[in-house]
Amino acid sequence: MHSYLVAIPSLVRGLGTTFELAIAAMACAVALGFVLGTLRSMAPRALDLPLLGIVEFFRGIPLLVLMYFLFFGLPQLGLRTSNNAAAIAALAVYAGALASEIVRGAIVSIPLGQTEAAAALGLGRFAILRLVVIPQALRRMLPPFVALFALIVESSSLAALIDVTDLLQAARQNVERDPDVALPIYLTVLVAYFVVNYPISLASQRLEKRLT
Amino acid sequence: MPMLEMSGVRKAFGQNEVLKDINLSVERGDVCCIIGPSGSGKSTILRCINRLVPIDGGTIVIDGLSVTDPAVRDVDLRRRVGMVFQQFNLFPHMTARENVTLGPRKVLGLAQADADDRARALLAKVGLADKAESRPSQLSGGQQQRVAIARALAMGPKVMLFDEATSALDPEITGEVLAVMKQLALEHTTMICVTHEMGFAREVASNVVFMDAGVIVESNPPGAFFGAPQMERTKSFLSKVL
Repeated sequence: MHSYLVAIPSLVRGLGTTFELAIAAMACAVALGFVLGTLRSMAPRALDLPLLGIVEFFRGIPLLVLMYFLFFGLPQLGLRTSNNAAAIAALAVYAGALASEIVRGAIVSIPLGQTEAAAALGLGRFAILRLVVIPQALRRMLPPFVALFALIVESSSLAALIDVTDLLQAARQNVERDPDVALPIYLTVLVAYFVVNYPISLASQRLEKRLT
Repeated sequence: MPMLEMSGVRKAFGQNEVLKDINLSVERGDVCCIIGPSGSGKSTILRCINRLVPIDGGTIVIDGLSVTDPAVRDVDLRRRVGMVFQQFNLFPHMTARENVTLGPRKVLGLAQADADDRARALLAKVGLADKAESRPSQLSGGQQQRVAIARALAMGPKVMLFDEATSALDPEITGEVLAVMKQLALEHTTMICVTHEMGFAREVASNVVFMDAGVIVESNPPGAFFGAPQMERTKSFLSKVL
């Protein structure tokens, strides 16, 4: 019981790190998703294919392998990164590929009549996108973006394997010190991930119902 | 010089020839009503005029600007041509006033206050002065279409295109939209209306054009067109719709 209670502050710090990773990765993923997704929605087929290739590549590889590549592989090219930066970068690229699909899907779901009406007024392509299409598409992006955040929080636990002291790694360190607390500690971690993620996915479902 | 001159206009979508050698001339202040069965190419003509659809051959000159000249920018053409769509296509995230001010602000470069004044005047003109701050979702179909007309008029166009402007409306509310269109005709707005409203064509048109299968079959002032149609195809169409 004693070593369980002693573990609590480090778990809380670990949860803080998990949030830091997730929020930083989400911000980058959204930015990446907007750039890639918008480009893809406008690109002619010849340009869209390579972009699609990039997206499919990052969707098709295991996140853990990407983290290992960035953290252990890139330093051999002189690109040394901190554990946290490598984890954030891997999460960001991985989630960015998914975010770009969300953005592209939302943009192309806006009826063509909207674009035509704006074009008939004399607005150019980018003005149409910025003033007419994206404001409407944002509503459709919101629920899947919230769900994506929950996925990032969950997936960020892989960062423990490149020695980021997130919630899972904090738990492992405590268990290494006293293996007897493995059950309560990992149970706590399980519940903590659920308590964080469940409201997020509920929020996503609510938004989905409200906005569509 | 006519306001609009189309000569030898051709357009195909893949193998499907939708416009075959179209010649059409509309004088300043005239109302041209285009009628015909669906799929005859009526709407495509309108969409070619403001370059929403590029043509494959022939020429279109509107108020001295050549639609096929790549040196003529889209914006210079489109600010001269207002378009009203069957499905209204109002911007749902904007109020009626914002729908009407978008073009003047972003394309014509008007200040917000000037654009607002213009929008208020136009919304009053279409009978919707009290709906300026309503969203499209709070308006009836007829009201939405009248906002869409105000939105097109706000650019100060030389020509107004109406693409089946009343086809998506319940019969009892088409009247309020047709009344606005009649008012515009009385003010000598140059208008090209693709329509199924034979009463409107008979009453308002300077010229009625009957299209079928991508060609103009017959074109005459409404008295002659409805009173003594020349072509068999026209007679059989009119016998079904009148």
